[in-house]
Amino acid sequence: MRFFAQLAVAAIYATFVQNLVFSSGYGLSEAIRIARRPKYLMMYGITVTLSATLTSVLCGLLDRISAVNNLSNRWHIAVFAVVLAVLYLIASVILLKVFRVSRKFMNSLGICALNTLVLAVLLVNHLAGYGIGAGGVFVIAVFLINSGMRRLVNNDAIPGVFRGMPAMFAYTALLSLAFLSFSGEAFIV
Amino acid sequence: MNKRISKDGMSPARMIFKGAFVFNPVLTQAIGICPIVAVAYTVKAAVMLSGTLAVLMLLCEYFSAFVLYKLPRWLRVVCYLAFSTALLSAVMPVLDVISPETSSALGVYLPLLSVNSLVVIRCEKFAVKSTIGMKNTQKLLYCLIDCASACVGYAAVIIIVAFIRQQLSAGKFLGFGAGVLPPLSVMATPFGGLVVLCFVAAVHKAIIKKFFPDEPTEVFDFSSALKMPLVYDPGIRARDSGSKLTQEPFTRKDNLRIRGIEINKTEADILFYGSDFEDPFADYVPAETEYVIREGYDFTDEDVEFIAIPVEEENISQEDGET
Repeated sequence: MRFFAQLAVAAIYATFVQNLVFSSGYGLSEAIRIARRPKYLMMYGITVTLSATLTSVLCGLLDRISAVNNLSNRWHIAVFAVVLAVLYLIASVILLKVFRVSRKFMNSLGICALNTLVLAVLLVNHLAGYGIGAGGVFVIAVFLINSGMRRLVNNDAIPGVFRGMPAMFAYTALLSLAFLSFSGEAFIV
Repeated sequence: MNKRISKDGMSPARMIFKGAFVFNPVLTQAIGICPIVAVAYTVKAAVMLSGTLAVLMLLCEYFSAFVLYKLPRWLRVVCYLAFSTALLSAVMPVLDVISPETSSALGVYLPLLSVNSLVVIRCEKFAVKSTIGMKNTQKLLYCLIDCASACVGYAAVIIIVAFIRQQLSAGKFLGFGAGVLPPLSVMATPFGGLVVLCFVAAVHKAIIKKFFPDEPTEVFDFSSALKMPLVYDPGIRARDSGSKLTQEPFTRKDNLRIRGIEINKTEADILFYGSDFEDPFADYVPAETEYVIREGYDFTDEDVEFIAIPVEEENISQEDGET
């Protein structure tokens, strides 16, 4: 029970207090780009969650080995990247050989499983709850950006040069500010 | 020079200028914005990030164009990660020596360059797909030009954004306003980065409109957010692609130029023409995009589901004759 409570706290922390996408910028490009074609949103969310959670758990276990734990920062990063790559390869082979998924799915899988957000979870804090939070925050980010995008397209109230990408950046900035407020820091005095 | 390098009669310098400025990867396509909004709040950090990215991207593009192009995409993506991480492991100690404070300030964002979307997209879109059929020397040149255009554009944006943020964080701008403007610590957060990015993108758009009226001001297809609901509906996609559509299974053994395609499989067997800056990971392509399917490549239902409008045969032969 205590374990699940810790897991939930870490996930909520990663989603709101330290929102990995809006407060730290991890996976922001992917979130904006996927927001315009969100039909694979659930697949992305699930893959990011699974990928980040499983690699977090494996890296956490590896870190218990003193030889790994004592590695310098860059070797630590290399080990995490190798874990992520190996896990991705195993999952890919299983999906291709056992479940015989389409190549279309496989083409998208790489982008879902190997992106800034997933690697950032490993480098920032490889708790399993963080991995779950990463998936949650990514889905929330895509959903919020997509909702804004729908309102920004063809909005005549926006001045000409600010339409499109500038308006998108401004909207994302406001979302970022909103999530920063959860951190409790005072930036403008 | 290969026809694809000079297909529009553009010199390499013009291609670099167009890729870096007109179709800037950050300002027009929102690629690679994570380090820009998160840590680019000093010019030193911006220079270090853009320099590292340039080295990483050039080597990755060469690796992709010469070695990885034969692999399926799902395998190539993991190779980018492995190759980039290995490169960064070698580069990071050098950066620690050059500027230990800046390197330390960049924190995890430096190793995160190994999965930067700019590297992956340029390798997939240009180094792998656009160099098919090129000779090795042409590949070298093409990748160099592409890398230069992407990195110059990226570096320009990241340095401008970092400069503005650095000034505003210090409570002055170009030496003016010291003691009058309050130091804006919020500029060091992603919020500050995105606000500055918004204004830089608006200025960029105004310049394109004024000085390059023939160039598109909107590369990123926002309208697809309206067309594509959260729940996938193939009927809507079909209607978006144009009016004269066929939905029959397609097998082709000759070169054929088609228009308005929806691709399930975007492997290296499909040569990309036009709409060069479209997302290579997308399976929806605007109707005006043109593709050439390589001779001898058979599509099956499993590989590709698409809706295609063949371009007139005589047009193909004329254009091929020109090139």
